[in-house]
Amino acid sequence: MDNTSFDLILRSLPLLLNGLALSLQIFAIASLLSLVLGSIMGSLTCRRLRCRWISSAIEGITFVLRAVPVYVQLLIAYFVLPDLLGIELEAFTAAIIALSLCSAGYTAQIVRGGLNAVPNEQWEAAYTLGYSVIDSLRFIIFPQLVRNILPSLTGEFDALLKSTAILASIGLLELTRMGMNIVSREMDPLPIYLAVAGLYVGISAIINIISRKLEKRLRYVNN
Amino acid sequence: MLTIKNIYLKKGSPPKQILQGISVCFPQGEISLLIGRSGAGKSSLMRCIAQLETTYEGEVLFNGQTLQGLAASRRAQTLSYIAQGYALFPHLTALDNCSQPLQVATKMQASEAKQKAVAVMKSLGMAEYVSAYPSELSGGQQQRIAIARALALDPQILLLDEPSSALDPDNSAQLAKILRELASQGKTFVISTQDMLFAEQLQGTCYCIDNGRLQGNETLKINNCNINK
Repeated sequence: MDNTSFDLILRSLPLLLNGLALSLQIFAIASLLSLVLGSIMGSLTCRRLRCRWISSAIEGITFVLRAVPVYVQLLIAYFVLPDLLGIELEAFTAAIIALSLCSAGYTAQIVRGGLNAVPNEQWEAAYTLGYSVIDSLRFIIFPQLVRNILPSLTGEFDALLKSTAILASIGLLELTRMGMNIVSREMDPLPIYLAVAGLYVGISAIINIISRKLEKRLRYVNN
Repeated sequence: MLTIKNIYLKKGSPPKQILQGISVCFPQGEISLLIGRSGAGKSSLMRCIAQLETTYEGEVLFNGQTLQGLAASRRAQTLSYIAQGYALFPHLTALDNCSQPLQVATKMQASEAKQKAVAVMKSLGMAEYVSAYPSELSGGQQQRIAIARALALDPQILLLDEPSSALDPDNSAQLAKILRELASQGKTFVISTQDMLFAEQLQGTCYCIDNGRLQGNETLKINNCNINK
């Protein structure tokens, strides 16, 4: 890369950062929804809290959410859902629905596995000490669950961040789409796509650093 | 008085009869020992008494009142169960392990709960470990924290499943001494063990279990109890 390439990156940076802001906004909302939905679905399908019909139904739903590619889910949310429900859906909302549902399918599996990994003795100890099921989850099981699933959850959120790149296909001016627009105007793909990749790596690194710090804080020992 | 009436328990697939009609009364303020080989049914009986098994037949009564269906907080203040592996909460310090159940189950104020927990820990010689996590404690210390956690709720009956299984002889003897002291203060203990030395140190009344049945209709003294029967 020569000086003109660096110059091009610097000139394009404000636009790329605008795109990044939209990507992050969608990522933040989708990951929050994925966490909430995934935690509920994962809890209701874990060994200890299984209810026959509800758990089977949720397992079916999470299987479909994982089986259908996120791109197809996005197309369904943007093009099919509005027709089906007779409503108008903006690209931003469709993106949130598709990404959060797809990710929730995976988060549910992670939460289910994490809950099953908490020893049965912990549930029983809480029970014999007079904790209700909700109290057990709140005070005993979820704090241990967070530690168990943090690495897998970080991986899922990494994947979710990268999935925001497909939103370019429904015209959202997120980071990748912004990069594509700049390339089509400047006709110099190398520096722009490298800058786009660098920004994804940067955000991913921040997510991983936060996750590592949290892991350290949850080590259950005094430093 | 803790009364067990005709307890039957089937477990596994295909279902295997684990307990075959056990009836026994454990007197208040005494140490009762359930002795038997591995797989004899001691732990299963303890789990039935602690209401951890939900599919058993029969009745568990305390002072004539059934324990089945008792509200969680009431049950915890009547009877406490300490599992073989202690099951301390690994994300909580020793103090929080002892004080949090008080706050959650009995809705006690945090400061009062901590004060009570510290007092119980102190009585068991664990005051200096209040801020230690379970992973930082030895097996014997974890055992004492588990007992402190149960005692903090001030239950009338304590069930201990194989409490000496992970302890060296010194710690076992020390634990036996602590339990004898607590029994002399009026606590009722039901303890399962296959450690005959520990059983002897506890000086309790011995009940032999074999093949899911209580051996003999009368209370047996420790020296008469043959666990190989």
